[in-house]
Amino acid sequence: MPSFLGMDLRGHLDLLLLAALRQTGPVHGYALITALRDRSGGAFDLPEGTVYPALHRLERDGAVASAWDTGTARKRRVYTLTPAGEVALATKRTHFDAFVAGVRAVLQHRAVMVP
Amino acid sequence: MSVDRYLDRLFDRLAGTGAAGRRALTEAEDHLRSATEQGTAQGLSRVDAEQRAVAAFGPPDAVAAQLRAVHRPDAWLRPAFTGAWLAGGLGLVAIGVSGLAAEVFGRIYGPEFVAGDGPGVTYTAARCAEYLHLFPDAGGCAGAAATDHWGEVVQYRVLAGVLGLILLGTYGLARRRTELGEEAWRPPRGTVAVPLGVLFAVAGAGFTGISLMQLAYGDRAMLGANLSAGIVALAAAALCFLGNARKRRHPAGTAA
Repeated sequence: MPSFLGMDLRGHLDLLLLAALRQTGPVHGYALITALRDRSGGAFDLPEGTVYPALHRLERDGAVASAWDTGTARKRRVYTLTPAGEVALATKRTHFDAFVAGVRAVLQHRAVMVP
Repeated sequence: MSVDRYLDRLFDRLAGTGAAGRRALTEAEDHLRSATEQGTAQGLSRVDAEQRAVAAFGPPDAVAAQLRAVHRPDAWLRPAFTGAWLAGGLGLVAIGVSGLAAEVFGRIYGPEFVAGDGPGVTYTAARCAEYLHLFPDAGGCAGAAATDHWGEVVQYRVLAGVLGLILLGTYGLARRRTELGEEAWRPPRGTVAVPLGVLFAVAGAGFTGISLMQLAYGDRAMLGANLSAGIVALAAAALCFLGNARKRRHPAGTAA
């Protein structure tokens, strides 16, 4: 199960993958996972095998598209964000921002109420 | 565990998954070989680099189980269910709008235009008495019968429209509050709008064609009912196709 400091990342894995894919452009799985790890400063060190089922699911749902790249030494599947993926990314980001704002508001409120 | 041994185990656990499993295995191999190359480039021995790559990839059981879940044969059922829900709601709303159009036609051109009987249709004296009791100002048995039928056309169609609105409302609510809002439940873009648009277009062409034939041959039976259905169906088809084209140009909101 993907986790960060013991927190379940499953609900945010799609958001992270879509965001990373948007930043990298068309990319294969290993490079995407490396980008995710590097851009999070090593915080999101996911069990790498879990990323492929997530990418397959996103492709099934139309958020990403993929094609074989045979121009390299090994056959590689290259993933691209689709227009529907852009929409999904914007929606998930909005939900995540609202979630973070809600958590922060509760924490700040508690900090005031409990000195 | 070596990369080869890991791939063998993953292969065993993906048995029966066909092309999806073969693709996943190819991706896993590329990933593990790339990670191993990176490890050796960082100074690790090949054995250590492979072990680190395999450990970072996760247990083959878990990876295979997740892949199986994504590619299970019934995955299409969820978007098909929501697509049918959405299409059913929109179709019923269109029927409701055609009921309102029939109401307007009846008010403008009279009940006989919407729901008049064809030539040769007669009613028993008892039936005529019932119609005239309901609509004494209709100007005769045929007029009273047409007024009654006009009311039925409007009533049943508007009821269908209300049911459609309820379906669409509960769909919107379910998307906000349940897992129906997740990507897995969302019909792929165009899979609702295009088939529904085609259905509306066929129905619209049919009803409008029948209406035009009736006009050409002077047959006024249910002319307004057919015409209202045809016009609304054609308008609904146009809305479906335009909405789908607009979403292709400016993707936003729902994908269906």
